[in-house]
Amino acid sequence: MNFNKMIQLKNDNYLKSNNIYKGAIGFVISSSGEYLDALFYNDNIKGDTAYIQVKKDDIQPYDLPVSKELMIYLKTQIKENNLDRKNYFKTLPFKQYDMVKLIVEKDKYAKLNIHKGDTGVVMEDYAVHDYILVDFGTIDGQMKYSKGCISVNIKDIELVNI
Amino acid sequence: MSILRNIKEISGNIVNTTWIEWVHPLIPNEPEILREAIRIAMAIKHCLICTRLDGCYFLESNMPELPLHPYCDCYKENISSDKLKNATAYCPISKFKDYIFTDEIKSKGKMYIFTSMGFSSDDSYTLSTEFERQALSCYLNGNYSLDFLDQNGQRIGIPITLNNHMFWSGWMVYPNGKIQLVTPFGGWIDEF
Repeated sequence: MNFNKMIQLKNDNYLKSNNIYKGAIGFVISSSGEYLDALFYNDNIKGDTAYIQVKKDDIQPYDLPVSKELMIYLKTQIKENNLDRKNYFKTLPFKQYDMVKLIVEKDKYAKLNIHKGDTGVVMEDYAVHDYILVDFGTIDGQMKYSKGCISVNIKDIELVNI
Repeated sequence: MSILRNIKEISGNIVNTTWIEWVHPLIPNEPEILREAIRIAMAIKHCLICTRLDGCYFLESNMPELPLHPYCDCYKENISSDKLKNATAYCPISKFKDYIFTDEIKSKGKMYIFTSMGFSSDDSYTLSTEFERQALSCYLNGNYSLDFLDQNGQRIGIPITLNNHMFWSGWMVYPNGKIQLVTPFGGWIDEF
């Protein structure tokens, strides 16, 4: 296997408890015998990674050649910067168009007139570094619009069952 | 003639062609998975906002402030009108079918706005294509307002006109001239 290419997980049977899904894309950090140390990228929460050991039989090349220089850069950054070596993916607790409620009062939301208890709708099916877009925009009885669509930390909201 | 020097017709739109691409070194415009891999590797030493902006196109006179912060590695690069021909606006139909036209509670009053203008869930596809058409034209003409900018990216407000009513729609700017709808309604431009 060419370790300068991206890889894709084709078997997730023993990784489900780590929330790592079949089809996850990553690249190989090191290899030893029938196992590989690989870094996988969480498509649901961009910025989230999982560093796991997988069997070579459980991965396949992902047709996306990466230049040797870029691969060296990536691996060097990971080693030098002590990239988070947790062995699981975080799960995104919300789906697109879920209704959510803000459960904290923070200045960064309050200055936009969005307060604890306000409800909104999740606008995307992914988060970026734990922030997701939520539309709090509201029309009142006089057709006046208030609040707006902002990025919110997923820990600051909870699902509303309607 | 000088004021027309930077005006061209692209994809049926008359556009101002003084456009730039926001560039952060080392980050490719595509594919997305590779962009994310490099952004993550760079995250400790490089600004998440800057790396998110990489590859995005803006009218030079209507772009995020550059530099965004001290020691910013970003720069702007002039782009040709040929590159603008690849610009696209994408409005998922689900923004109407699964959000606006669900019910008054979930849409937070927005469903009433669209039904008052004479639309229903059956018009979701039509609305989607109309939003794409108007948004692309506005974007290429620089007729957009810069909205929130953070790790999720640069949002822009684009005016939409439906049945003589004008309102803001919220879009996300992606690399290579792509914009994608975030929210169909972001406030009135004129009184309802």
